[in-house]
Order: sequence, then C-alpha cells, then structure tokens
Amino acid sequence: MEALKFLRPGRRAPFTGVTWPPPGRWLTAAAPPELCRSGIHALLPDVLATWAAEELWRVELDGGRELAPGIVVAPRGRLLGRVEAWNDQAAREFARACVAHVRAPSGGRAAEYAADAAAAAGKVVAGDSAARVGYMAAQAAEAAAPGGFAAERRWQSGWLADRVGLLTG
Amino acid sequence: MGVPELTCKELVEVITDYLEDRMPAERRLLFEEHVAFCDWCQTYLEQVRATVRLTGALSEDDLGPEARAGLLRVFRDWKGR
Repeated sequence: MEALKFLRPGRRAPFTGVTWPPPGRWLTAAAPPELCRSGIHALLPDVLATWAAEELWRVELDGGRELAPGIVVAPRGRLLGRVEAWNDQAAREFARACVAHVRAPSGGRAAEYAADAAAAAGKVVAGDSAARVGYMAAQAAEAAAPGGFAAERRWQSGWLADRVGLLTG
Repeated sequence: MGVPELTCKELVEVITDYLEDRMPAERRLLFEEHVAFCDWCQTYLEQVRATVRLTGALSEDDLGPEARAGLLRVFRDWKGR
C-alpha cells in the first residue's frame, strides 16, 4: 500500500533517528509492527497536519496495517519520491490558513490560542513550526467548542493534502 | 472533556519510561504527538538520548582522578542535602 511519511532533513526519521535509504531501497524493521514501538510507520492523508516535519515523502509499505487512526505500520517500507510541493512556502500558507480558519474566537482561551497561532505563523518553515501553528489553532478551536480540536486537525490535514497535490492525484 | 494530551512538564517526567519502552501504546502516541509540534521537547529528547549514548559507553577506568574526585564531591553534597 502507499502512504506518506514526514522526515527530518536528510531523510531522518523524527523519532528513531534512523536515516531512510534512498528512494527505491527497502527499509526493514528490526521487530514486528507495533504502534509507536517498532515497524515502519507512515501516515494516511487525514492525519498529516499532526506530524508535519521538513520533508514529506510518498512511501510504499509492504504489509501495512492501520494500527491507529491514520497511522499505518508495516514490517518494511521504501521511499517512492519526495513531495516537493511541501516546502517553506507551502508551510507558511498552511500556517496562515490554520490561523484564518479559527479567527472567530472573541475571548478567553480560544482567543489566546488563536493569537499565539497568528503570532507564530509569520515565522513558519516546513518543520515543527508548521506543526506548532496547526496545534495552537486546533487548541483554539477546542477552546471555542468541545470537539473542535479533532475537527480542526481533520480540516488542516485536508487543506495540507490538497495544497501539496495529494488529493488531485 | 478536553483533548487528551501531554504537557511539556509531564513529558519530562515520563521521558525515561518512553526511552526504556515502559509506556503503553496510547501514551507513546500522545508523547510523540507532543514531540511532533514542540521543538523544546524535541531538543530535550535528543539531549537525553545523546547523554544515554555517551554515558552508556563510559567505564570506571575512563574517568581521570580529578573527574572522579569531582563527581564524588557532587554526590556527597547532593546526598547531604
């Protein structure tokens, strides 16, 4: 199956620190797939916003299963190609879109989170700062209405997938 | 009910459990979701990993007399508090 993977610069996995081999070569896990513990982890488009990092790649998983919403884990995987449309410019647009989408809050914690997100949005690059603005905007949505966090994350992920061309093939 | 999440303070408290694989999957997921957007905790996690890597390779013989004496002094002071 095909999925997506955010990596740090140099094809480095954000949590294990493993450097992925060049596109086309398989990376095999040392232990059977287990959520957040072992196996090759990748994403479905509907959770992209939560895990944004500097590099976005399309990956092929051999035997992948969805072990948590939007998270697929497999015994092995390989990079197919980098999604070049995810870059600093796209990240800034993503941050601005997140801020604009939760601009409504007029007071209290929702407004504070929204203001923090707006302040951070101007300095965003395609790494964790994009993820942070998305997180703050989602918190603003939750503070404005219970359940807003998850709904906002879905919206953000949809926006991101659309912006980088994943929804249009 | 709010969003299930980990604060930076909580993350610092459970980082050893994370690194030693003593955390259930849902908690690991929360931990990693936090690290994904928090560059302070990313840095902290990398520092702890580096410390474990470097100190794990040390043996008693790697310490010079001055370093050994300094460490013993720190431990004595710490235990005396």
